[in-house]
Amino acid sequence: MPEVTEPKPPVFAAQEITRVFRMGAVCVQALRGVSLALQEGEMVVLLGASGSGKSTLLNILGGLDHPTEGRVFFRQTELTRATDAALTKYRRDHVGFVFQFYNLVPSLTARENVALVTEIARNPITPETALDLVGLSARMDHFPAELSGGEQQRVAIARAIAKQPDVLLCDEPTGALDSATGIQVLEALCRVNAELGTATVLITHNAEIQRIAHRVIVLADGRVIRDEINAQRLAPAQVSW
Amino acid sequence: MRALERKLLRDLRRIWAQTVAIALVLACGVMVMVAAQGTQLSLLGTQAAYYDRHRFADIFASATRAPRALLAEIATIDGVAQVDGRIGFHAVLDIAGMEAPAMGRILSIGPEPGLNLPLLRRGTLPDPDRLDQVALNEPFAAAHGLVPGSRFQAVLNGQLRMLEVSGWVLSPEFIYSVAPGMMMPDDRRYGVIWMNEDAAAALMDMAGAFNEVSVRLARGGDARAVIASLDQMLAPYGGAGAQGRAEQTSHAFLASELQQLGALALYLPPVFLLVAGFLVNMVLARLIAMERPQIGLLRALGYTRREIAQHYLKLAALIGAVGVAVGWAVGWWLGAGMLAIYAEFFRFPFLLRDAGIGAMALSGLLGLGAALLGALRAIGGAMRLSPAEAMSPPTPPSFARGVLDRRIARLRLRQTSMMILRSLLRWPGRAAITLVGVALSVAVLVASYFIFDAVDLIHERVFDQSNRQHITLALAQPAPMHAVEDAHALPGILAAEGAFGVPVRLAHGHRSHMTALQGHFGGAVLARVIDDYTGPVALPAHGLVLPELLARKLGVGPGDKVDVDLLSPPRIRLELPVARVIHQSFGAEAHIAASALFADMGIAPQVSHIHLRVDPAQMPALQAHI
Repeated sequence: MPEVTEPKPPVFAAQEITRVFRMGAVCVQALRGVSLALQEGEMVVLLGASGSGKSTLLNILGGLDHPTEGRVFFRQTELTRATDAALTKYRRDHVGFVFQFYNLVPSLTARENVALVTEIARNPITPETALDLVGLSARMDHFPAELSGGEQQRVAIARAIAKQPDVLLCDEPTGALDSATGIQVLEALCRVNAELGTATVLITHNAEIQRIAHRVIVLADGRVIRDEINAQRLAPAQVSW
Repeated sequence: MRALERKLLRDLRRIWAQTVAIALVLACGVMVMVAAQGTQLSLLGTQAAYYDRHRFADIFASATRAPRALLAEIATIDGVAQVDGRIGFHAVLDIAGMEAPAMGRILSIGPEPGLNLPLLRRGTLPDPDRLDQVALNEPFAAAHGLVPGSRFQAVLNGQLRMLEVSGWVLSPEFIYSVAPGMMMPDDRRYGVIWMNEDAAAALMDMAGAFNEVSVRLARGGDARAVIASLDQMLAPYGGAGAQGRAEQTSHAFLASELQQLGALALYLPPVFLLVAGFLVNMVLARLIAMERPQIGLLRALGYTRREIAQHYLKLAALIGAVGVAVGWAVGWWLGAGMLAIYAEFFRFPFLLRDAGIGAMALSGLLGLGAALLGALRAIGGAMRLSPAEAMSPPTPPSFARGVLDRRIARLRLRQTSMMILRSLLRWPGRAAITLVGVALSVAVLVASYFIFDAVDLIHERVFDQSNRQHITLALAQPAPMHAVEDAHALPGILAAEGAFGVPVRLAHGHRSHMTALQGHFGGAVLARVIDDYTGPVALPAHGLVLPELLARKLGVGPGDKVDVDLLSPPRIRLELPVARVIHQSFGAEAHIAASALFADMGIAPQVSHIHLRVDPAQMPALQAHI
């Protein structure tokens, strides 16, 4: 009798989520009923123009923000019902973030920026190992002001992976970088995804970058307009912009 | 060290200038508190120990001449624990090297003094078998180098005597030793002298009698009741009214200084602490606004609100700790300096320095509390933001076009001016606080410079307008009017003017006040009564002229009648109307036309003081003559 394997539950499941921002008298609807499911170990690119709702969706998945309506699950845990303390614990234990503008603490060295995470994480690797993974073992004691943009972003990736997160959420990680440096950063992300099996969501408005992902979800005006599997993934070195 | 702690220290280093500024403001508050409270407690402790060890009396009274047998009666008054009688009088001292004569207060000392025990500092107490030996209070003796064995001349009850110094003493009665009518101690011109009881009795014809009495109260003794009984007992013997410690000159000055120190420790530190708290709030609010994305990041990384708030509170606590530590150190040092200054004015034989742990603990708590409270407000707002909001640029503040705004718009101002005006209207509270802050700082400057002008004004009123004499001769006994003419014969006299003053107790209802009643002769130009607002006062033919301060204390106004008890012969009670209330910047004595006073007292015109204006070149000759 053939062995029956039960399908693994998705790492993220979003059901009809909307998000409305009120800024004084103005209401901005960032998401309009988005539903999606992301699988373990998957590298997903969220593609869309500015204002399409990518960052809002990523913030909701990362527990940084609440949807106005709809439900979001991380594995079996419903994030939309979680308290502030539970969301903090969720971010601490499961999520690694990489932001467009690196968001490093300028008064801490590369090693200390990574230590910010390893000091509170449940099962961290050492800051040195994390920095080595992104090729920065020689720049550990440099302050952000002494590092190039690409190096700063790689420190941010090391910081994100140092806790051995279940998911890595990257918001335009190459947005502030030139092409060559951007490719180095993408290589680091792909290596983490491949070697550690971390489910990775990568936001970009750069259409070229979608070619390195397992799957591409395109957003426009707060809605998913396309969700497809890449038949043929390219290595970061093979893409250019 | 954890990464956040490293960040804390580096943040502190980055904002070191603000940190130092806030810490110094905080340190000022802590310093004033530690120094003033420490000094106050040290002086209070020293005072209490000195009073206790040397049996400082609670009640003091004087009489013209009372039999010693009365002391036993006084001891039976309910609430009296101990009684001591003595002979006291004033003398003119002729000290070598001094142009002007010095004034001495002579006190008799028996073989076994019971109260106000003098503390021997050098030499010995006067030998009971020698009538010419005296002990001097230390500051006076030191000022003149009158070591034991030195001799000096004194006019004692009209007799010129040579006295020999037996030793130096200090007394709890003269911790602050100021001559009658003087405002500040002058150790060269005023000294206290202890003389054998027999010698003093012989000089003053007071054998078997006393004219000063000190009383120590039993535990729980009622001072007011004892004073009333004492006044009653001494009345037949020329009692001049008993007084509690509050009216004893030395104690009153010391108590007033201690009260000022207490007020300094109570009112000044909160100002500094409030400002420091405000500055911490301002600096942290700016820092937090700048670090808003970092706060968002820390939240995104999984740091709790409490952990982040603690991080910034630690920053405020460190600033506070630096301020407190500096304040403690400088306050302790300043306290020692203040004690040394007080030791110059207040003559204690020893100083018990209070460890000041209470003041340090309280100031430390308040200092840290001010810094943390200032920080809490700044932190609170940032902690409420969601991580996503904190990492996003802040939303622009909402400006709306109100009525006022539309009117301002019509002025067609430049855009930069519009920005300023709209910011003021958008945050009126902030603008108002700034306005109040600037106004208060200007007020502080005006008030502090005002003191210099006020002192100049008082100086001008008191010495240029009111008291224009160079010298006032205080006569041992009132003298006939021709004494003024006699004074003209003294060397260098340009003008001489008589005056008549008498110690009185003024009473209205239950309120009373002891002061001097000054009788002014018509046409006086050297010593005049001046109203601050209207200038020289022409004294009315009848009735009293009272300074506003005294009138308020007695609760009287023009037309009210005041009981005037004369505390020197003929010791009668007069009932006089208040003719006028004046604004007098200095002094609280009552005034009356001399002619009216003589008529009311039923005595012939006479003088108790002679005011003199003197040719400055002849001053040494005049002083030598006197």
